[in-house]
Amino acid sequence: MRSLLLIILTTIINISIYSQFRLGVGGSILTGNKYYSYQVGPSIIAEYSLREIPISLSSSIGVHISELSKDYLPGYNNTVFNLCASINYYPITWVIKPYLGLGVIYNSNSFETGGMPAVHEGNIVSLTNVDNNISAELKGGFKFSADSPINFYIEVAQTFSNSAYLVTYDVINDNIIKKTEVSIFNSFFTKLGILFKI
Amino acid sequence: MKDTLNYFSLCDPSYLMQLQTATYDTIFSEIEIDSSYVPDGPDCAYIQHGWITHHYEPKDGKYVGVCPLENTFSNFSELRNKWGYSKLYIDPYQNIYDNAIAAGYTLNDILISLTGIPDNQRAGKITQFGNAYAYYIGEPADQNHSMGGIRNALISNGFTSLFVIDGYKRTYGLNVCVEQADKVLFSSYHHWYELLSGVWVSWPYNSDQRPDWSDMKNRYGSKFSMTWINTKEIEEFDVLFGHAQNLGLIAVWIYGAWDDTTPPQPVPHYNDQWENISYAAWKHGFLRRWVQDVTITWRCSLPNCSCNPSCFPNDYYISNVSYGTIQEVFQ
Repeated sequence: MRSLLLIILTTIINISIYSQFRLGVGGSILTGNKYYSYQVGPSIIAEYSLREIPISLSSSIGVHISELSKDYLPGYNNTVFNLCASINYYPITWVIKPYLGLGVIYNSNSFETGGMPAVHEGNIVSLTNVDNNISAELKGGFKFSADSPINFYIEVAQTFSNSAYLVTYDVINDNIIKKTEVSIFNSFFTKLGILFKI
Repeated sequence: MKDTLNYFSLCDPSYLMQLQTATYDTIFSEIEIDSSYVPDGPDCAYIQHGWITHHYEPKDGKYVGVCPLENTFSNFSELRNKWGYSKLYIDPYQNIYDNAIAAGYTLNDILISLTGIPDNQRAGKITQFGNAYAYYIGEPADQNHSMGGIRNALISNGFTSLFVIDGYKRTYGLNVCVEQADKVLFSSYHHWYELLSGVWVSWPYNSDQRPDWSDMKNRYGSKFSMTWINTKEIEEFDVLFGHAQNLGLIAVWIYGAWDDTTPPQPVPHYNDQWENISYAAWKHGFLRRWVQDVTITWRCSLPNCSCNPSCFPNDYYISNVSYGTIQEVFQ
């Protein structure tokens, strides 16, 4: 038991010695989700790289502003505050480092209608099951000038989350006409950012 | 109310304070007390005099319209005859129209929504209802609703009904829609601004839409002579009506708002805010207001009253409420 603790302690010390922190800012833009007209926003990123192991741990906090598509739910806006934790793997060590990553994101959604409720054939259309949620993220990208104090990165990411429902409601006769499952949280993002070694 | 008062007079005094407070807050919450006094006499009566809103009426050259959530005769009647809303928004259904007419609205008071009605059925609806005050399409630019089938039907029938639309992003799309319409209202209760050319956002959310009204006025001039106020508002009616007055708008339309639940429910304060809305409309010159004198007589509930004023209202119950003259009040 003591030897196991010693190994763990030594490993942590080695990681601490040979690792490095980076802080930076990034921005993401939605490039794949038919339910949105746009979704865009900045984030603050912290990355912890391990020198002996081609892996980094990163976390970010960000906000996205968005508007749902007129074709599906016009007049709806969503402001999303998100917290993300991810692990990235760098298969090649070079000045340009490609990487793959997995992440978990907590999303705090705030859907608001812009003005009047969405109306379809005289009935109100609303969006349900859009509370705060957790999504998984699969991503890949390139980190440029990887060995310098300043890194640039470009990344694409696909998120996976629960579905929401579009509910068409007849308020005159007080009944639900249609309930359609929609994958509004499964999105494809393109991200850019800059990281500074600290 | 009589039963309630009798009940109080039979109550054990220990219950009186909380019951009277509750009664006073709920039943008499609309009373504005202007004097209180203790008359001479052995019964230690405590008299309060005040007045209560009796009703509102439209003011010449101005009006308040309403898009209610309940389409019943009684609701329409109250909105028109008590709260002074002289124009009414309805969906294009005969039974709703019939309720509106029964409540005292005329065809010239009614705005009929054709939002969501297919273009090829709109002429039939217009022929069915006739020369109404206005026909309306909600947010054609923001929600991609067609405006087709209305103008031609109005012309071919020789109707003078207004063609009314609304919107909130002042985009090229809205400009095109406004050119085809007679009137445009601002339909959001958020502030919207152009972040980049053609990109309108409302983040961070800001419910003060007054700058947007000003911008609508600058862009669309006389076509922006009325606007929406949403019942999601709680305390902003005064400043909003004030700004409507400053902009010289001739009308404000009150939009009955659903909440975001499914099935939708009226916003929680929906039924409690008509007085606030009409009061603000009166204060800023959109309505006339009538009040009625009210006198409330409280009596001591203790077996041996000391007639000490500090005992009021804890040891008192409401003995009588009498209503007096009705008169118009002015700002």
